[in-house]
Amino acid sequence: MNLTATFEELHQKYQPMVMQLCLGFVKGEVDQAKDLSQEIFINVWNALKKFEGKSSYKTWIYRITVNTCLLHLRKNKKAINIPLEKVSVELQNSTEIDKNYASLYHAIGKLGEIDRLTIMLVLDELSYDEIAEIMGINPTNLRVKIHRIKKKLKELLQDDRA
Amino acid sequence: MIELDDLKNKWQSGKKDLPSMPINSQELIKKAQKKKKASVLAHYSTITILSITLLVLILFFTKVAVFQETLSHIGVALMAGGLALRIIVEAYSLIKAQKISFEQTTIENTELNIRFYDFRKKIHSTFTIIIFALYIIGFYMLTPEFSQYIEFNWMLLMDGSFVIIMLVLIWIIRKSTREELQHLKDLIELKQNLKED
Repeated sequence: MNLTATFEELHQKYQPMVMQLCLGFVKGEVDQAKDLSQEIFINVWNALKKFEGKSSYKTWIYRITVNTCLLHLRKNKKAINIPLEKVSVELQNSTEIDKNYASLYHAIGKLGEIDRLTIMLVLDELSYDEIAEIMGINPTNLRVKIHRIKKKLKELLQDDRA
Repeated sequence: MIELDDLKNKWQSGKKDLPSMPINSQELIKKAQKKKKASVLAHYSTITILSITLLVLILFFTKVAVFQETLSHIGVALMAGGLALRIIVEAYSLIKAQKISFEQTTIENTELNIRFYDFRKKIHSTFTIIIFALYIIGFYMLTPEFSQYIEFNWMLLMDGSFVIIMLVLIWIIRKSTREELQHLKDLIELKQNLKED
């Protein structure tokens, strides 16, 4: 299969996964999530020639997604640090995201960037080993980390409900 | 009580209502190719501009305005040396930057970024000062011989504009240094977050 065809297939297959991670990362801000998804697939295309097959395409795209999100944050620190009150207003007015999921993105957005990315990988049903492979951290540390993030996320969601 | 499985279900059902990307695969490829070209150009443009400046400087002082005095020759050598040093540092910086890839694990990518910005910090704190000093000293070493051929008012204008150019350059470099130091600080914090339980 040539590069273009492989890319088209990857784009088709993983676009929802990338878009959802971006939405969670940028606290549900749709336009920013679209720009970020675009940036990720641009990086996927530019790296595709070098893909060696050492990991699955899925893990590889997750790595590119996580690294692009973190770079995006550094580059657009002012733009991405949207006050949460503003995010709430935007989410209330949002026509594109169901309010049901908006509260989840909102709560995820309150976590630190690494915690945010880690919990989204958990919610995307990746195994702990896969997450450790993407992030390059010790699986034991990861388990403890995830336990702590889950607890924090539950608290945030409960606070939102109250 | 909210359970993780509820959150997972919510997350999974959220996939049905995701906004779609504004462009298709073909348009993305075109954008990616354009971005790659721009990035290669940006990477090599500084080195190319500096190399051309060095070449013009050497040609000007060896073919057009040939100096007679030893002090002026040393001045030209210092200015050219400062520029050559800057080109070497930029090239090394480029090699270091190219080792960073989006395909690496988060920790590997963060560590390489930290090494890169740490190197940039060293450049800004040591090399930039040396390069500026060489260039400024070199330039003022040319002025005694220059003053034999150029009128005082023109000399004053030349020296004055050199000071202004240097001040603007220092301001630009300080601004980008501050940004890079902030990146370094953020990356160190990120690494700590990654490593903590």
